[in-house]
Amino acid sequence: MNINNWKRLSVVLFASFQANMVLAQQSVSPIINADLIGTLLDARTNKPIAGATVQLDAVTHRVQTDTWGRFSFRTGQKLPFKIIVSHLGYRSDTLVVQRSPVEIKLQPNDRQLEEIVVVGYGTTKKGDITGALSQIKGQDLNDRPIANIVQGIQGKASGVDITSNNRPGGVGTIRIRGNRSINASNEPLYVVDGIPISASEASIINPKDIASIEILKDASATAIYGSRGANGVILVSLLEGKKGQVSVQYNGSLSLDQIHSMTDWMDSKALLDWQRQSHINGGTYTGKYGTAPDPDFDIQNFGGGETYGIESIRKAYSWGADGKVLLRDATPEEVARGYAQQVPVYNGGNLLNQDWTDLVTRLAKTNNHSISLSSGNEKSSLYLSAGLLDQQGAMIDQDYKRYTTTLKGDVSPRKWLKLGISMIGSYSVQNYGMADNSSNTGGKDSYGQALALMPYAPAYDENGLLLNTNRTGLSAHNVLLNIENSKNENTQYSVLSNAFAQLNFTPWLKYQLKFGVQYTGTEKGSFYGPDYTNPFSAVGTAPLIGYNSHNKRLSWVFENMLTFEKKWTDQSLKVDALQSSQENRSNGINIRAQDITFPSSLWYDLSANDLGIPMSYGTSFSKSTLLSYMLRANYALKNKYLLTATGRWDGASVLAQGHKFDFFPSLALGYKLEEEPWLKQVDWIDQLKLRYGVGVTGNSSVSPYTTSGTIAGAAYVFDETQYPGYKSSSMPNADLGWEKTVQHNVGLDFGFLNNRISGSLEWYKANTKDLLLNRSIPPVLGYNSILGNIGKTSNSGLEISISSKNIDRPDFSWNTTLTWSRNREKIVELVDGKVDDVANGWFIGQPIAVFRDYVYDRLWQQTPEDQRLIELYRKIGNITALPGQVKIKDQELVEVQPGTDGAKSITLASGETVTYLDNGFGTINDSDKEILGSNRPKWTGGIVNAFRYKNWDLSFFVYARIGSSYYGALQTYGRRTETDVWSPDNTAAAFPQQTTATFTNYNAARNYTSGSLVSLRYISLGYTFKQPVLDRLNIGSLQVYAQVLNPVIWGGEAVKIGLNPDDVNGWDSAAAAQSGGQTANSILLRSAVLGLRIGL
Amino acid sequence: MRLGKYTIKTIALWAIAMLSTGAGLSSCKDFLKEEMVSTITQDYFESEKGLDELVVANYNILRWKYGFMEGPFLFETGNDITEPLDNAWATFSPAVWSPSGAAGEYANNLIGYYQTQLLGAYPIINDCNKAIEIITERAPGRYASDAAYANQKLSELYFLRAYAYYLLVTQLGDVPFPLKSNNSLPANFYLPKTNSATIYAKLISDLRFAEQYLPAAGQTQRGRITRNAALHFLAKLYLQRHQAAAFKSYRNAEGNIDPTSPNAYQGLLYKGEGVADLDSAIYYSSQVINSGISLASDYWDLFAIGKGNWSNETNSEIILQASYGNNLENGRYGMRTNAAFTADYRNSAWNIPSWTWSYGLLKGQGFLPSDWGYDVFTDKINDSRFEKSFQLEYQSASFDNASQSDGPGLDYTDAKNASLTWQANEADFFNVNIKPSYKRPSWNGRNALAGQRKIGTADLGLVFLENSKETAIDISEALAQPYVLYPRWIKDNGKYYYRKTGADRYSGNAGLLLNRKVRPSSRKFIDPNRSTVDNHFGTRDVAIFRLAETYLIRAEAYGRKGDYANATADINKLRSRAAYKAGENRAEVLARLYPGAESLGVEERSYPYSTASATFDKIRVDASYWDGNSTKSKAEQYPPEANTELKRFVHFIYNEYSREFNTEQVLYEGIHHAGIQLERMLHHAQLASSRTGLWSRSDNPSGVNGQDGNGKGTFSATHTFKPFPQSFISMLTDKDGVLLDETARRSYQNPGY
Repeated sequence: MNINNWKRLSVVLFASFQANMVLAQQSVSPIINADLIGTLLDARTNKPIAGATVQLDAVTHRVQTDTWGRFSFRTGQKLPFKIIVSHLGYRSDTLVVQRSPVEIKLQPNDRQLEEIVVVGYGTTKKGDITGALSQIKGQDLNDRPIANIVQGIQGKASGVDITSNNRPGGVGTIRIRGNRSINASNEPLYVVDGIPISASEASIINPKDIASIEILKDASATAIYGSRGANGVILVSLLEGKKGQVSVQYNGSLSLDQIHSMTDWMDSKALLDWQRQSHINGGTYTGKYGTAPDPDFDIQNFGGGETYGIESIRKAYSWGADGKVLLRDATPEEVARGYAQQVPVYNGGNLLNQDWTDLVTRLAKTNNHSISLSSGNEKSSLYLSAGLLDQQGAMIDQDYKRYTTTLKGDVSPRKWLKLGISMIGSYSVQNYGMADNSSNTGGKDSYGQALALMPYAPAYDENGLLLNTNRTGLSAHNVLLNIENSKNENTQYSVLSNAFAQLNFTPWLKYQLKFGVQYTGTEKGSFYGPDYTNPFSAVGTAPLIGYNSHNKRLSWVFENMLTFEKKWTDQSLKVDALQSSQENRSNGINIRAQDITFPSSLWYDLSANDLGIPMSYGTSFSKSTLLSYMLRANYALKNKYLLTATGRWDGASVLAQGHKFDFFPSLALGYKLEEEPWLKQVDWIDQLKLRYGVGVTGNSSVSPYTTSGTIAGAAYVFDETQYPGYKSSSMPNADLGWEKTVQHNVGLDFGFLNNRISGSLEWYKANTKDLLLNRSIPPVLGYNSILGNIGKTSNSGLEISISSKNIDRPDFSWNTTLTWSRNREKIVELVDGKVDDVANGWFIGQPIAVFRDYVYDRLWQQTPEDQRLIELYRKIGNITALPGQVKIKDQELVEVQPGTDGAKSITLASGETVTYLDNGFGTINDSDKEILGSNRPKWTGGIVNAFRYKNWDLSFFVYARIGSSYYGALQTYGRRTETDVWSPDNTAAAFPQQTTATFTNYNAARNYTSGSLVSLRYISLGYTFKQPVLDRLNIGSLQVYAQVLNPVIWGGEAVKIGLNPDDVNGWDSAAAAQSGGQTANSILLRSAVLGLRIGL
Repeated sequence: MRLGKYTIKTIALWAIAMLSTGAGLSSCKDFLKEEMVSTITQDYFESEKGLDELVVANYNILRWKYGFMEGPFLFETGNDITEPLDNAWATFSPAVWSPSGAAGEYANNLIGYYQTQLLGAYPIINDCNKAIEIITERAPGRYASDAAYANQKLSELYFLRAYAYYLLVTQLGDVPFPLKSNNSLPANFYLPKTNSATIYAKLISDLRFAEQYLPAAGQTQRGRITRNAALHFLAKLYLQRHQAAAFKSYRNAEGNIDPTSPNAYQGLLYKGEGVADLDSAIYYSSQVINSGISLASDYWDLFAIGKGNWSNETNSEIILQASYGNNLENGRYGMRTNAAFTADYRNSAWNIPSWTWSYGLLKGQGFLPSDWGYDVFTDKINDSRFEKSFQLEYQSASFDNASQSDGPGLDYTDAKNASLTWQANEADFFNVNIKPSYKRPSWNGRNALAGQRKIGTADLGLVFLENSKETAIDISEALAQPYVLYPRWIKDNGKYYYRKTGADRYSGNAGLLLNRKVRPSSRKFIDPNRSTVDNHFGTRDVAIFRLAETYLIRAEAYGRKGDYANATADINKLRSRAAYKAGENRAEVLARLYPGAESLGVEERSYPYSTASATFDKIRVDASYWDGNSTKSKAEQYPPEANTELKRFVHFIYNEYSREFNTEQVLYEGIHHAGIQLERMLHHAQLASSRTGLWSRSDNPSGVNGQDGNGKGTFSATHTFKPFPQSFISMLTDKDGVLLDETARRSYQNPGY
């Protein structure tokens, strides 16, 4: 809101009483003991500046501007006054005021070094930071509609790699500076207003309530969180009421989301031709009309053995009145191609083309509304907000609704006392969609299952009703039927409450007591109706099975903190001492029952089942505690040399006796070169700060109870009665201790040309040792693995972030923000030092998850050389290879003279005797496998360009994830339109020939391909209404915007063949990805957004 | 702000602060203590109750073959009567049969890779060792006060440990042989293999201890180890030791084998020698035979099971079983293998559109018989085990989702009936040649009408005819049957076709390397009480030892001593039970279409196909069965390597195993330990064998995928043992903790891998 609006409000408020006076107020003349009223505006944008200080020169009297930039004085003097105006982020100004009211414009100060950023347990000035951190401000986070904070961070902070998760209510995975741990968690720590929450609950926060997110990346920044800081820390600060302001904000947006298939799928005609060709190629085509389509063959092989499927296939043929297929004469060209003289009349174009994916998707609407009120004065402040996210999934069986309320307030009843509380309440309901498919193959959701259905399989019967073929034939797993017969609901309610009391003993000593508690309840309910076809035959998802589980998690943290802070002439010292205790406790209960009597009761009446007993039930409990002591000192000398030292002692209950406690120190130094006199003369340099930090962080993220040898149930049956049995489950490890990371970070913060160009450069190296590693051991020992502190990993990388104001004129500006980072993750040591753990897929010198497999060499050809080679493989290694199929890399064939050492001879059918070096050629085994790459990118980057012309804003965001490998080039092979397949006429093809022939199949090696992607994440166009317009509308501020999300994606081969390598959720381990987990990922979720921001 | 002004307040504040801090500090030690609530530690086993429950847990080794797919992959691949449906497995493709291939993985699972899920021998051996140590060194409660109780439990543990080692030796040969429990990480992974002679000697002595203290059959809970189980096991081990005694020369003086020798696999079979192993085998098997238990009177009684009826499980022939409860709480997958041996019988072409409870389920990679698996039944008409082992006929059937129960097949006039329609020539043939003698009540004497559906309620829907090229059925007769007939061989105008698919009137090909999910499948383990109709969590027990095998063990021992009279007497015990009894009904297709049915009387060939007189005389065995010249002997199709009477006799014993124990995961052990696995595989198993021209050639060879008379596989001596898994071998070290080098690894690995 600006001053004009305040005027309007005044009108509203006072008009009913003294309409005339209002006008009179507009023209106050200079008098003694005058009131000075005025407004403060941003010189560049003409927007009011709130919270600025206005002070009369030489007098202590000062006031602050309110939301509308308004201030008022009652002075003891007469005009003109000399006043000093100052505000964070602006150049202070001293000016002489001649009249009242007055309008003052303040120049923004591009030196952002005075800005406050949040660090662990406190705040500091941006210019005084010694660690590596990224800050994302609330408005940058919310530059497009986002459902959760993780989504908002993607591409905005260097060194943070985030993959998407498109399921409504789903949260992407986030990795800060790579993966350190192999078995322990790599999830960062989330801290909301000082209270840690678990990563899985990051979605409870409405992003609109966020003032800023700080991501602590290096050890000197995270060591303050000791054992929990190893994976980085994400500090979330909620908005709070600002002093002297009352403001109401409304944000609303409507998104329209739609699935865009990146793959061209074969239609029925093409697909049948492809499959028939596969039989012809493989020599298994037994049609009665040469290679021409034969209805009997088609029905037998593709009809699915069920009426609707058979009828569907029959449509491609013409039938006579006698029920026999009509024949025609084949053309000479057809006969040349292998057709018989008389062939059936066939037209693949008559086949049904059931667009299954169309049936399970929709143009989904997402409503995101948020309203907030904030108010504050000298003694108290208050922030209230309510948010609603109503997200339809682009798949018809998925949606998500979240309601959030946030309250944050503090009161200072006395100068020495400040009390505050903040609370977030959140309730969400997620319709998860069809049953979770936990097997490695098959569609992961309704879209994936729709893709698995043939286009010539009908979805509806002749009456237009959903086709139920009783789990037989082509439409056996009619996805629409399954959607109608399944319900999977996840409900989450969460309260996060955080209270503090701060006592100021003296100006330099204060004490803070903090208590935070989080309670989260999750409920899962699922029910499968009588016609559910159970496509993955999971035992828990059979028809008429209901399941209900309730889980509760209560965690609390209790902190005592004492802060000493004192400034001297050219040095300052701040010391924080902290004691903290935390507890996490969770318990749950679940029941599953089958043969539910009344399907309408879903999972709400599980006892009403025909068997009279539950199918399974259970309860669970786990508790872990953490006790910590911390000391931190910040010392600054001459505002030039900065030092931060921290030490934290952490004890974790999950570790073995005697290994629970450990110490995590860190040290960081900063050197503000710009304060040096010799550099101060260089006027284009505004900031040049060199930082170095080193620190130790720990990780104890293992499940409770893993250190003492556990036992597990292994019952057995005698006389048809179950007798309890228990077996040894895990080998005891009395020495399990902390996993530790030592991280070095060198950083350079810079600002040039009046801060037109600013940014930072970070280099880091993090060495992790004593990994909490589940090492494989020979099962002969009675166990197959033991969790121990074994091995080392390292991560090193480079991060760059730059913002630049390319053009900065009153009417036109162009800003660019660029982030770029690369991380090299590698395993340094494993069990017994330099020994690869093949069983687990861990290799020294490689990232933690790598693809290791046979290497695609080329396709076999029909040349005499290849025929000879094929025969050699057949004779030596019993390997049947076929032209047109994948040849993998093997040792070279080295032919030598007979009698050579290590040579073997073999006689071919032609009588030729081949003598070759027995170097492994001819056999394919584990030694032919190589490390092919990793799904970790070589680098990631994001670039935002923002333009402003008068009242128009235009911005776009490009995100890149480059250099990762992707497994899946053949995932859609056989269903996608793929023309570049091998045939005798296309020997240089990219993909193998389809065939039903039996051979030793190594085609899977062709799956590995480049997963690089560049994505235009959004284009946004906004318009901020001009003040005169708003005045007429009686509104404070109004902005409307329109956006397109994900319009384009470019990339390597994976993208080119119609896959989206970005969403790898749930399949981020290479082993799982290799098993074919990414089948469904052939889509890009595109959205159009309309949004509105109103301030009152 | 001045300090003095706030003194009192400050003190108060400090006090509060210290108190609140103190609250956190005072309980520091307790605060981090980890209390076990939902988890218990292994100290529990030191109590009487904990020890009891540890013993119970070890019984899970008895479920190992049936709890997941490991059993069929290890014990039904590599015998000549069953084939994996997966071609790479069935042809012994090197992609599968390598230390890092699927065969290596399954070997890993046998060793104990899935330790947490109970799948594996060594985790159970370790727990057995632990329990034995607790009983013998620090017995708690009743174990200390009641010697009989302690000895019985000790005997159960010895038996279970012996069974675990027996599985290992059968699959891997010499294996590491720990007899002490392991409770912490050792300094090295030095795990040398122990000679199987040492292992067998120890297993035998443990079992001889056990048989003294175990209760007699019927004197304990069903499912517990009995004295008979130990005796039977002893007889089996003694016989196996004798079987391989001849291979002594393939081991060197240290008892090791030369992995590069072509006879290395035989050396690996050698398990030492006792003073009188054959006599011991006869002695212990006789004790079982004379213990008062008896053969089931009807072979089918061993397997008959209905919805809610498990009466077969109490049959007195069963000596040891893997127990599964009648509810579904049966370990990870329940009795999983009930869905491993079934054909895919679903097709509306024969009016059985979906899985049913009573016909069972095929789930995942399945296993179906090889042609030899059927043909080993040399008299399919008179040996009822053929019909009782395989589902030769399916009646039309349906499944009702709403009531979750089997229903009858649709009536042939039902609009939804999608079975084949009669074609004019078929109808004519049927009406003239078949209908007059076709008395099936459901058929009700109706005429075949062109255009009408063939298969109605209670009619036969899918029927299999396992004939030979010589006895091929004519295509016109095959098509005219009132059901969908799948013959192995049909002839059409002088052309002979192998396994054409009946559902499409013999236009498509199946069998060998082509789709072969539709053929007669084992009906022994179908479980109508599984969790859901399309799921495999089964509830039925599986017999591990049954008296029929005891008879065959004794028969072989007698025969090997040259006492064929006693041997044939034992074999004929089984034959007598296998024969049709007078009045017993045959399957319709057996009586009407099978080669040999023409020898039956007219009444016998007409509904209900009742047997006129017992058929035992037709299948009674005598020494001519292995004389090498007689028709009976030739019908047994002995491999050329069986060139002496004794060798043919041994092969006959395992032919009889093939007839008696199809899909019971028993035959593999027999032919493997007898040292005849290689020759039987090469001679009988077409998919595995590399021999050419051994089989009848067809006119539809489908390139090289179909019946061209040649073997399709690469089976060799190597495959008679599994490879040690690559991941296991690469973890091993020497005594100093140094990883084995390539040479040491190679000599650890089984020959040929």
